[in-house]
Amino acid sequence: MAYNILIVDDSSIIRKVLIKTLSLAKIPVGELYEAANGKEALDTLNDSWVDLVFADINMPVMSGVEMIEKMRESGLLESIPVVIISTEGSSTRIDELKAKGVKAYVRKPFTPEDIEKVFRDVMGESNGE
Amino acid sequence: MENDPQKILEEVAAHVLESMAFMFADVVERDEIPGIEDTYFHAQIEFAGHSTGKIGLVFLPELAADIAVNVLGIEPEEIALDDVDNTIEDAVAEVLNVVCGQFLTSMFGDKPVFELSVPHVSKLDSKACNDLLRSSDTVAFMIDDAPMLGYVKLG
Repeated sequence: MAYNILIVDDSSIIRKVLIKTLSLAKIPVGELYEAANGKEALDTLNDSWVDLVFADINMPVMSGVEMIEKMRESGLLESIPVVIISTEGSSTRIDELKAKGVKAYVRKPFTPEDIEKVFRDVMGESNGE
Repeated sequence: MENDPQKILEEVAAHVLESMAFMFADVVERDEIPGIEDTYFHAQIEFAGHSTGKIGLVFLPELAADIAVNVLGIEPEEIALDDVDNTIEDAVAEVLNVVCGQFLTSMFGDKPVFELSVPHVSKLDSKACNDLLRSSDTVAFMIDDAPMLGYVKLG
């Protein structure tokens, strides 16, 4: 099964690196969507079927936290799992995000193994071993 | 004993460059860096919260291009040295963003919450680079025979 994935990060570099990492991690990707902030991401989520969101926290226009809050307010988007990928290492902030419904947290810099593990954990996918 | 911000910056910057760009940064004494004659890329980020301050990294343009190539996993020919598409600028900004996040937890632990600014990248002329090189706040690295400078200012 292939998954439609949305990557939300204001850094085009990180979006490119994450796309390459998904490929290296052999994640079965269907449609791949990109957004530069939370507002663009919500527009994409309202227009397209997305199975999993990878999002940064600190972004201009609309932060990742605000995006998650808006998703939770929406019945349709509430169930889409969100994985935060951020430079932040504050356990206080991570706990706050998990309380808002974030499924997992990956700290930059990340490896293909980090992304594969979090994908398998969140989507309940077996790696076939 | 209080954490030494310069020492932490040295360790964190070397670790992040190795992890993100597969490049090995050797910490050197500032006086081992010859006088700078070029314009360098200067990336700076500010943080606020438990403590306030700023962190900067300064790169030779060719080194910044090599970092971008390695971070993105692309061929050197795919990077324009004049950086018309801001790829180099974006890459060094992202490296600094990660350095700042790692620095804050190494320096202050994982409990405090910080707000980070968007990294700002500009050009630094040779005079400003040499002023920075003489500052005791500055740490110096050599990466494949190319110098890189870093600084952290708290408060």
